[in-house]
Amino acid sequence: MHPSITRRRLLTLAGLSAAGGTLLPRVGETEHDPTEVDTWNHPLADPENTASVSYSGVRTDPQISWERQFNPSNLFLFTGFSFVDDRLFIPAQDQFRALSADTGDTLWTIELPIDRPFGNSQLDSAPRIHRNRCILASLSSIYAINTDTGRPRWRFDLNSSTEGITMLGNTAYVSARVDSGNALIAIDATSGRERWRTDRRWVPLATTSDAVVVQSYPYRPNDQRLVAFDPETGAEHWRSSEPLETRRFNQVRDGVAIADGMVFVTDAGSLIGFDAQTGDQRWSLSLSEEASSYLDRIAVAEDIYITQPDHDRVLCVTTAGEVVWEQELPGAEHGISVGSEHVYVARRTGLRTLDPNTGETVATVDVAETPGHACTPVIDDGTVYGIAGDTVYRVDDNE
Amino acid sequence: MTMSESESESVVVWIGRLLFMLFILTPFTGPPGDLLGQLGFIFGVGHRQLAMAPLVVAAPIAGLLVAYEERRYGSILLAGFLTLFGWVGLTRLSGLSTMRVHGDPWLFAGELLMYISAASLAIVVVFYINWKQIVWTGI
Repeated sequence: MHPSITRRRLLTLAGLSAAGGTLLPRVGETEHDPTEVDTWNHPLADPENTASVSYSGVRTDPQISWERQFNPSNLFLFTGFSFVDDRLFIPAQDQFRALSADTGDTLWTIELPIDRPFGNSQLDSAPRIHRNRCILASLSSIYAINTDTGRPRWRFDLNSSTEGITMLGNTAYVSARVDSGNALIAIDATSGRERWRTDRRWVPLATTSDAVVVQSYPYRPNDQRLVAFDPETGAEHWRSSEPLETRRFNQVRDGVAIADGMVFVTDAGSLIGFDAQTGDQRWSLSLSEEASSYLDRIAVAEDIYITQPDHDRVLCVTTAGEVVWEQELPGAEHGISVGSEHVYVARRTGLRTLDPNTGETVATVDVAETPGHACTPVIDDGTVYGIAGDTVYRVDDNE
Repeated sequence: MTMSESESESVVVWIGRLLFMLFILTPFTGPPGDLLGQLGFIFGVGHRQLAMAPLVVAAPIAGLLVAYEERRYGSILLAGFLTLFGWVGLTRLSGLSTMRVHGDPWLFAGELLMYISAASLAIVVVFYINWKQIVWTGI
């Protein structure tokens, strides 16, 4: 042993290292910041799932700018895709892709789980983006992917697959089993660190700066309620006055949105409005005699727009629960969005543009080489992006 | 051409030394610390399954064999064990082991410092205390 390495020096080193090891991790802690950028960085535009924007997409004469074919494996699992910094982030069960919004060229492609190259690929969530972090669920992990390169930035390990994921600002909310118990976990999107967790099974559905709205797991019949937690602390705010019927174990096509001080939920063939401050049920509207096998999807602007693919129908309902119009729309898919001038409905073959006041068809785009499931159309100023069957496409105004 | 008995013993010893050194590095390659996994995410290449769990079983056995051949490796082996156990204890006490995230550079730095702390303590315990004297005077 070198004579200069004395016992005292070693003990000092041990003490200082232990102190540094305890203190240093606190440097990387960040506060919850609910600030959202004005882009389509969630599958349904925003954390509230409104699928609406304040600007117009395509108007009366849409033209296809580009179309690209891809393998849309199990596309029906995903509620939508994201559009940030002129890039489209497209989920499919076997691959996750970033495309140039200008040209449709593939920028990068990854398979998840990204660090288990010999197993099956399985992406379990639509992308949610905060700055240059794209949050995704795959098997029993949550990943943050660098949106510029497609490289992994962090991985958060769970003890089960996740039943749902939402995000608000720099915090992701995930439902899963961890440390031998079920929990709703709040995770810092920048570092991957846990902020807080609850002690029961809650499936996150939508988020505002005031509340993370979740659905409870049905431990007993008629005990499945909406519950609101504080996004920053995890403290419970309210439970809904009435139970829901539809089980939402995962985020497959769930129809839940928060707008205008209300939480709107599609549930077993009905649309229900809850007060977003108290959880009291304000109204319930029966949409059809039979519940859809997959949940109906909604978009909310001044009114609520609902697509019912099982019934080939689109409806407009006021936020007070009154039907304004309804239209037959054969081939309607699980995707609907609203711009400042039109409603855009995803179809198996492409896109249908509707007048928001009457529901009349304004324009139709047929683009899919092989028609199939479709995602929520993404609206940019003068542009709409969509997926139908095996085709990703961009349509622009012809003006 | 066959190896002589002394040559084959030498090969065994060197394999043992190699495995033993890898065991000393276990915190960097496998559970519980998985420091290389942390590094993989920090540099954006992911985890890549660097964990070598079988090593945790094979390396101590090899280390013991080597210790049987060369007494001084026994002390190093003991220091390695103590470092590992000390490191596990320190990361648990500080809450670092409950962090379920790979890829946070600050956590990585914290875990690394804990390893240095545990290694320093282990070296003091193994090499800087005259246990023989303590034991005999104690009795």
